Amino acid sequence: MRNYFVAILAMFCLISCEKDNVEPLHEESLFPEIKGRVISVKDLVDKPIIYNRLVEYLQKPVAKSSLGIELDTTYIKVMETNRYTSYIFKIQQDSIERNQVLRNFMLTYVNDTTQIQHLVNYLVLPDGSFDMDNIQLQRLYGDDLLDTNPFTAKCSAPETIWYSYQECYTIEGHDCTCPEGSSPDEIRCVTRWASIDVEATTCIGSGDAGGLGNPQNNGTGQGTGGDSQSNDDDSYDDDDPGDDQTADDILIGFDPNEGGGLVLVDPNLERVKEIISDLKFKETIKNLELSLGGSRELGFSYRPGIDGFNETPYRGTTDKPTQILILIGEETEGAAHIHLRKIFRRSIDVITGNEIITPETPIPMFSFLDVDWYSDLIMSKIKPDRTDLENTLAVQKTFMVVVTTEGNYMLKYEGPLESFSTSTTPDPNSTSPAEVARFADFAEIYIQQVSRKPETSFLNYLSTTMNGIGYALYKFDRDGNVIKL
Amino acid sequence: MSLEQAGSYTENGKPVPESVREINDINDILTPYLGTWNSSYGDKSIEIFIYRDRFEGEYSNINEDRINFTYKIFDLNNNVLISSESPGLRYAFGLYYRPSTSDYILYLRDACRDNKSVILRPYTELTYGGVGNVEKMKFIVMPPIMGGTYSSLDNFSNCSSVADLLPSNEVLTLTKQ
Repeated sequence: MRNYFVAILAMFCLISCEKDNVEPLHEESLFPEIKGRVISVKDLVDKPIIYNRLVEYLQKPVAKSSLGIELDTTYIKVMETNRYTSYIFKIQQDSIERNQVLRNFMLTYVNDTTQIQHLVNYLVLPDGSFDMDNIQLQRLYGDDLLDTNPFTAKCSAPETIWYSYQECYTIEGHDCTCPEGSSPDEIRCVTRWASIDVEATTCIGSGDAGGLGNPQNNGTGQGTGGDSQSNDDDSYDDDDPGDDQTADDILIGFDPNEGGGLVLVDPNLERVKEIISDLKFKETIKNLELSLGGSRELGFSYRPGIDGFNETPYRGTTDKPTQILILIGEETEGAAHIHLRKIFRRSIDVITGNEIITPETPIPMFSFLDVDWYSDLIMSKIKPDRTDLENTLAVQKTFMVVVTTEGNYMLKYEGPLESFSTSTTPDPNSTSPAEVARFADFAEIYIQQVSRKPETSFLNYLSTTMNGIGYALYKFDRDGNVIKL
Repeated sequence: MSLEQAGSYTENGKPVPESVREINDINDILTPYLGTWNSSYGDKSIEIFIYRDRFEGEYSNINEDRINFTYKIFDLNNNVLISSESPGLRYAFGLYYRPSTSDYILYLRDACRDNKSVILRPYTELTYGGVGNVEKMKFIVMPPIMGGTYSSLDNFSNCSSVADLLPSNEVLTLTKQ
């Protein structure tokens, strides 16, 4: 019988930022270096496996979860090692329950593939701190998040050996109150409490996989970490050459997520701020704003590797003042254009001979052809010879801006690339009669509604027709103020 | 909300209040538009049929009254050169009433991407000799209310352009049939 190791590394939030307090640990090989950060759901786009599963779960009505659990995705704690990555979510709780216990859901991926799910309870002590010596764990099995039967455990809890030591790790966006001179924004130090479970015993439907208040932990502390070997191997035979050694001896850390106390940095918003703070960008937006009263649309393409913002030509002749041509090249990362305040059309009444000047008000929002242009830009960044991550990073740089009388808007795609490809917007370039008709229907639906409620209708359009979970609409000004709509 | 109230928001580039769910022809301003109208220009003539419609907006959550029109353009021999039934074309759909100029603006799709706005402004005119009235309507073709950004110069060699057959920089006067 092969030994396997399962460990819990529970972290106290009793912070000491003095590095001198960190004691070298002789079990260093058992406790891999941890890097911590706090993210939001959209930061997971470069982790399509977890992102898709999480989004799939979040889109379900809560009632569909067999456990009736609703996740708070505002602050997701991430612990990364060279072996695994854990995502720790706060579970929605009422205040009465929260006064007694903090509930977390932890999703761990070993080597980016094997999924381990835990429900974790931290009992609240009278002084408000958590009882880190009595962490309650419930291991969940199955591929679906939180929809699994928690009582289909394959293995009972093993014998437990306990460890305790301190370690510091970097956490981004930490709102630390540490003493001066101790790099408070960079280092977080925790006392880690650990157990190693040795030798699984019975492995058939024992009903509790190191579950809630597991009584088999020798009284030193409660709970066991789940093993990462939940899949299909009921016999832990040392001689089995097919065993996955890398998944056997994983040590999983636990860090309570209280849902606050940390400054959350939205990297998508930061990217937008970076774009709009660029001096050349500001100058371009200023030019566009000053042209709102003009008679023809004005547009710029953005090619940072060549010439930055560059004024673009018009499509066709000047009798098409609302049509601009922005060619998409290898270096193109974005575009900005204007929707005029008014368009004035001069005509001659053929009966009276009088000149009639007729004003028209363009819609202060992206047209569907603008969105189509942006889709073309995204598609140009997705290349088959690149990795998903490289493609994602290339797409993350892209943007489309429209300057209107109602404000400046920026459209960005921030979702998983596979969702982008499923857009249902008709192809305006198609010449097939069916697609032409579908596009005509679509144009009618779009223009009619966006003209009435530009922001609301456009957002609804993105979230329905464009599978908009990946699209984001920002409103910004030249002073660097930006909000996500 | 009435068509006039909603139109005042839209023609000033402002969104209607979020709470608005219905825009109705409370004051019956659309009736003067309805029916068949025609006019001649150059070596062509045009006939349009305007009808009332109810549009249900899934994005805006607004249901509203509007008018649309179908059209035919004829040559001197009364042959149909193009119509809203031609490939890639369709009826012009109503966008909104403009209280400041007492007219109605519609969107006219062009199969060659030369889409247009059409403004209709009905009025009553005394007949020659001052006996009775005749219903007339100004018909103005303008650049589209919503343009767009293009990533390429498309080849539209096989498309049907109604825009090419409409009067350019001229205001037509239609007569009700």
